[in-house]
Amino acid sequence: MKAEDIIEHIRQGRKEAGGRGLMDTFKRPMTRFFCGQGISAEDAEEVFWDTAMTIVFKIDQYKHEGKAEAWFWQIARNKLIDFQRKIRRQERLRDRPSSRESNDKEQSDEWKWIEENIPAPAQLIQEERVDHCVEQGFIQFQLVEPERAKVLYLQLEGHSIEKIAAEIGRSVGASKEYLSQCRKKLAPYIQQCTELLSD
Amino acid sequence: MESSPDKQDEQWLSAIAGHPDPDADALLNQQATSLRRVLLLRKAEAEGKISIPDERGYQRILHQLQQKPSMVHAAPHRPSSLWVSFLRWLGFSEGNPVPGVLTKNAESSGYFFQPRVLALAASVVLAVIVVLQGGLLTGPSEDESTVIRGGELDIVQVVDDPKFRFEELRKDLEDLGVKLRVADEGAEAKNTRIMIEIPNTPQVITYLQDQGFSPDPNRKTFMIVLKKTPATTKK
Repeated sequence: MKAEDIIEHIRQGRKEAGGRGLMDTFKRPMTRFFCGQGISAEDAEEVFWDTAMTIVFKIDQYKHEGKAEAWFWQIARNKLIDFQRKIRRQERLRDRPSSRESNDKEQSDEWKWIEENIPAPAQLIQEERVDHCVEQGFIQFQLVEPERAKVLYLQLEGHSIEKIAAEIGRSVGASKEYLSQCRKKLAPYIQQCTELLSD
Repeated sequence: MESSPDKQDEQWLSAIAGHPDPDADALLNQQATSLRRVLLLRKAEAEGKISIPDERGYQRILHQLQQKPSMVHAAPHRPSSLWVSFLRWLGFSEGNPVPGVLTKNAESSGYFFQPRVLALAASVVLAVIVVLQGGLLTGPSEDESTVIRGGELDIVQVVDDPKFRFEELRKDLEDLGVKLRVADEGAEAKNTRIMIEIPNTPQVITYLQDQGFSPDPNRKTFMIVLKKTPATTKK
């Protein structure tokens, strides 16, 4: 469902359709984005929940300026930033209570880092399209090459080559080769996504 | 300079593990980072840490939507049928219009200066004063019971369950390091009306705005009243 339609449903009091649309359309891409930013799955779900609530509460403030989808993503981005700042603040307080000046400096550096590392809404929308495309390709790949898909999950978790070798029952040398072939094997399934990337 | 295929495979695998090589080709890194996001989400789903579709989450959102005060303004105020009858009794009709909705022809013919109209205008002014003072114009232009207001004294939010809403606000504000104060314990116990006082800080203002309130930034504290939806206004 388009973001504009979700807004219209909620504004017109069709709360079930609006709520369902918000969940079905945005939960997957937004939690994927949050997970990709290095927060745990549980936290990603909470940040999504927070985002969805803010969308619901602010919906009357949406003035049809720009795309509604970009407005949703802007809220998601802000919620992630709030969450990351809160976590960092807690870590800072726990590790070393410091002076106000050093706190201000750290907060300013932290803000700069976040601004530089979390993409803007327009980029997030593009990333979401690429991710969706890559996911569809990966699902097909997993059906044809289940063992290689498993190896990619092990790689994702940062396991050593020895551990991967033990998991798939191959020698370390053979596992290295097997792993390095994954990119080539996956390529035909996600070729069309590369075109989206280069847009 | 482009890296060798072996080097690219290595860079691609590193990016999947969350360590992209800054010297790698940008497209290669973007593709691997996208795959990493996909794998992270699918892994979380497989481990039951995230559920999509999420029926429980949908119910949470629906609950919040039902708590959300309606901010849709009703149609503009129209004269009541009693008022229309009164005007008809005075001799006004659609072809003989009411002041304020004069047609161009009527205006140019000096319609407004007829004695009957002047008498009516005086009566209307008097009637409006009486009605306003008597508080009778609580009419249909805005549903008072469901609108969030950032007034001079209080911000009122009408919700189905004030206690639930209060707990949400309390938890969120505590996360921001803000302590709120319950200003009216007696009413809280009945769960019909909870009055809370929150200190004014920039964070609080942003938060309250996110929550659909319109706090006045010039105030030292915000008094928020969470009122239970009257049975008659429930949908």
